[in-house]
Amino acid sequence: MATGMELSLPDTLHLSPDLVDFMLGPVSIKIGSCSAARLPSVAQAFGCQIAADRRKVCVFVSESRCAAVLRDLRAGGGLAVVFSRPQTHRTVQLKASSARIEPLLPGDQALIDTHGQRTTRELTSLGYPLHFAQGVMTIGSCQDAVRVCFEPALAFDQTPGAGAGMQLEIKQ
Amino acid sequence: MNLTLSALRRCFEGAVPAIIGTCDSDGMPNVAYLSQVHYVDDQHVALSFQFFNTTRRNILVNPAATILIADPLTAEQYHLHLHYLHTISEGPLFESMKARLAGIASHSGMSNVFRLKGSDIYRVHRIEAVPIGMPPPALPPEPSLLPVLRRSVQQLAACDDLESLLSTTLTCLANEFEMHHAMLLMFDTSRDKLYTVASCGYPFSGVGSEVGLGEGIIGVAARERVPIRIGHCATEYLYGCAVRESYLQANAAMDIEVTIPLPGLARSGSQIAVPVSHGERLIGVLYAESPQEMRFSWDDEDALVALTDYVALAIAALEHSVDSVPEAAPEKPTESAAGGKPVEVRFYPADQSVFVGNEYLIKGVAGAILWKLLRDHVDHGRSDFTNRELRLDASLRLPDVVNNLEARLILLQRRLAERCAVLAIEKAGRGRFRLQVRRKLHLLLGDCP
Repeated sequence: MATGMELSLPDTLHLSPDLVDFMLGPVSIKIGSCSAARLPSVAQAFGCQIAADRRKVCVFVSESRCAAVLRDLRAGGGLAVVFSRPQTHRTVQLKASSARIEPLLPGDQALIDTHGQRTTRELTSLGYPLHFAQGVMTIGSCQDAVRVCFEPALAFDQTPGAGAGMQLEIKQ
Repeated sequence: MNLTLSALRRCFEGAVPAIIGTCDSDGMPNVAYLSQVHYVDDQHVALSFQFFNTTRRNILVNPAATILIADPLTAEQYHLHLHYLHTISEGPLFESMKARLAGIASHSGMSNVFRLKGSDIYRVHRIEAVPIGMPPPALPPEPSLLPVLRRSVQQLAACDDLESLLSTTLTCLANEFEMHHAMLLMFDTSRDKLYTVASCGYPFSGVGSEVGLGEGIIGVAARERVPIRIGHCATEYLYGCAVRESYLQANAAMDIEVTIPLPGLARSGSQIAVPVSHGERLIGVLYAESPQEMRFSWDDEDALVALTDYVALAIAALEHSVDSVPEAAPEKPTESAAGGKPVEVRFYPADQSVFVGNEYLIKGVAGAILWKLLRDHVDHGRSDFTNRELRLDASLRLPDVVNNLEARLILLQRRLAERCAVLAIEKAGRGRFRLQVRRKLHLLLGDCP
């Protein structure tokens, strides 16, 4: 697809086991893309799945709640995904030059549910009201959900502090 | 329904971190957390700029940004489509955001990390509600503050002197607004300091305690003439600490006991400081706090600003009416009824401080007023005075603003009532007051306190 947005990024990263554990934990996940007119889009994701070889990541989003990001990704826009744990503020951003939108696979809904429950517990343990935590962590109708799959090419530490913005050295 | 920014102000309270999406000139997106989204007006928001990061680099080359915000009560989410305009790093908006950021940083254990470099001003192009994942909870309707404000203004309108205006303001805060810990400070233009004239909800009144411009939330609100509201209190803005620290730095060699401690909650959760201003002139600051975090909402701020605007107008009107009080008839000297062993009252001209016995009582203009009253009493047997004669007395070095005298007399009256069994001041009609002396006095001039 000719979008004028072909991004040149390094080869796929091999995520470290520690990073994989973090991404599968009680984290808030936000994704973003960009249109051909250089207008950014952001939305929330509801859990993720990481391939056994730790080179491919899929995050789950709602078609209706993530419409602009999905539109930009379908048009060939780049992808940024931020994982942040509310309790520790540890934050990591992954980037990829493109992403594929795929239907949910069997088992994905269970991953979405588990992520929602875990992150809701994390938020309530920090004092957020239960109805608020459930409200932000509930994807809504599962018929509406899709997976956004990508091979991360860059990873950045975004934990507030001196190292914020540093590119992560990924241990093979 | 068209969404407006003002309808979403709850999303800007800082309870839920917002997300910002930007992209560089090649179209690579970036997503980052925001510490603070500040409502400026219905077309603009200000975002906190703390680090020179990718977001910063991106908006400088491509000013488009999209943020995702959430309502802390309903969990409903909204997209705001923004266009970066410019960055400010001083002034009321910046200081207000800086104070709030300090609170957020303190709350999240980031005090050493978060520092506001600037407030990035964005124009809001479009607001979109994100479709909801689950129905929002049915929230109980929030009680309207308009009837509260109306009743308060009615009570204030019945006040015919500064003292009742100040005490009624605090009574309204407690009874109508349910803000039970509050104080009113007046601005001393000659010394760039605010002094407490009334307080409620503390173990001691702290009347006479002082805050410098720029010190703590009260001093910053006064200096910048901007209301400041903090939902999580930051150590650096705890005015008591700030004032004490600054005092110690400036007066390391002096005795700390000559200051009156500020009242205040030991564990303050929320604070709000609202300047009391009449046109360009700063009259004082109204301050309230609560042990509860996130106690004061945007609506509370709106209501308190309206209330203090009314208080400012009322003070200005009272100043005008004070000038029309007729001069008192000359009083015949009377022999002082006070007896017993004389008590030493010492006055230090350097800072106009007065000590009764060995105890510090008051300083500044209020100290000078007391010293004049005591001299007139001892030298000429006078007990009755008029506000007008004090206003005209050049030796008192009163700033030219009328209310300073009325406020100082209130301060002096309250300080005497709290700290001095020997002396008292009571009102003796409009624009007049009487000095009560219960012991023989021995007046002394000191060199330095």
